[in-house]
Amino acid sequence: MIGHLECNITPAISGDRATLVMWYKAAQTIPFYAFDARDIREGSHRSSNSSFDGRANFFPNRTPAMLEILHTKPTDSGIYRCRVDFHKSPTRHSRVQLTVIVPPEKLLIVDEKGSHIRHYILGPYNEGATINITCISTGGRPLPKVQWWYDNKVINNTSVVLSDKRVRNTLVLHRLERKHLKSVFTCQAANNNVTNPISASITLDMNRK
Amino acid sequence: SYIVLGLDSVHIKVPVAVPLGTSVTLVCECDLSDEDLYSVKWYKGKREFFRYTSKEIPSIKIFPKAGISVNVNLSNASHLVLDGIEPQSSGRYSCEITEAAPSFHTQIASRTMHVVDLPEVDPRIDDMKSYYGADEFLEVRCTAGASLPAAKLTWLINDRPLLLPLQEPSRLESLTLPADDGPSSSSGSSNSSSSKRSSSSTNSSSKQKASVKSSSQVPAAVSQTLDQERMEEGHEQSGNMVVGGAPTASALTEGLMATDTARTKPGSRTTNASASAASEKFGNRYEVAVSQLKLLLEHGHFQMGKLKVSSYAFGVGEFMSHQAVRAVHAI
Repeated sequence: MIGHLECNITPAISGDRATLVMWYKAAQTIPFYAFDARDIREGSHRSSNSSFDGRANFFPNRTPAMLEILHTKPTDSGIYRCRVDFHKSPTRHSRVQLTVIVPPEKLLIVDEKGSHIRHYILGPYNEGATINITCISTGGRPLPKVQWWYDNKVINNTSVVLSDKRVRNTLVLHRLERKHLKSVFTCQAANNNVTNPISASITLDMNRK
Repeated sequence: SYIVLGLDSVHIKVPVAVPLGTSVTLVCECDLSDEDLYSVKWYKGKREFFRYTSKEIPSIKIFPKAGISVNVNLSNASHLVLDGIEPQSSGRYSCEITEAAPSFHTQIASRTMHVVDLPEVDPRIDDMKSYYGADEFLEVRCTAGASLPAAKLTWLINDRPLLLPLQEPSRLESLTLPADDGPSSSSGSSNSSSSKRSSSSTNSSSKQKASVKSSSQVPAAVSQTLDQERMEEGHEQSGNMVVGGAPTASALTEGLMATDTARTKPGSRTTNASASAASEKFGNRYEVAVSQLKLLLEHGHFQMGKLKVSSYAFGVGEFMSHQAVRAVHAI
């Protein structure tokens, strides 16, 4: 994915221009990127920090001017400072926060004994029985929220963080009724509204009397 | 990888306190040669107001900023001279040094500078009686002259500092009031005088008038008289002003209380333009410090049958200011 960091380099007064644009990561004192437009209209680009390794490119002619970071990694997350020196007006400083999201990787659904649900079919259960199923999500930064859905509605929102990689949600249903035969329960894990959440479903089987 | 050139640290020197109306030099030095330097910039708060660019002509650029008047002739890459310091000159000053290409290594250092204006008048002690006995309460109030920022008040009993913290039922309270009338006012007086107006001719107050400084009964008239007296004494005292390094006495045991708007007296005098500067975070407003002392007197407080109560007002940066003295005979 490409990270986009904006910086307004348009001068506040007419007849002025930006002479130098520098990008700093967090509290570092050496800019990892400098756009030097002091002598020539074109301006020269200097990228000096090896951790960005040529992945960073500044586009001063866009509106607003934009720093693009290619192949973003989770370690690129953080606060970035843009400093613009103008020829005739005071220096402008701005900050942008970049959050690199990693979607969750996979889901696992287990029963109350911790066994994997075979063929994604739960049961068969009798009428009046209680079911207890847990969905565990692995991966994702930030950690996702795990939800249980039934009939296109969220029926359980209680997400519990197990570790720095795993989150679970346990669904308990009491007093099964006939109508629950063949119902589909879907577990979903999401940590952003940009990519699709991952999901897994199980079907409930019941004994006929 | 590349080599970092010589910008290891920035050496900044900004005075903590600077008197109103003077000039001040701010220093920002580093170990870079002019050749290796791209720019030195000074900011007040977030706004740049001075820039030295080594390879440009002219090398100095000034951007206007309220409260700042740069002396361009005397300023250079390492020294910044500001003239005509005003209350609005108070603030946080930052120096940003940027090395030349290719590294553009940048270092920033900041310091806060407070503009001070000492009180023009002595502090005043009110509500003191002529006679006290042991086991009685000494209840007095000290009001400092208006200053920038509020002065710190210290109490002395028989020339010895008050031992703090005080034990109940003794108590020390301090607060700061805005001085809406500029440097020559002491607006804390109105409350005490209005409450005293009903009992205007108590023995103690008339006796006190005779001695040193009196508690005012009618604010306007008496205050003016006192101001005249104090202005003269103030001038005499100015010879005693000492710029010292002693830590300020901690007379204020309790935190400053929020100002009670009902207590500020309606302004009836012309205000100095500088005193009524727009309020900024750094307290460009003149303030009046008030300290209220309630002390349970014991035999040990009296020396040779006398009780002397005095107070000192200190300004920021340990500038010593004026003093007020009340001497009283007591049983």
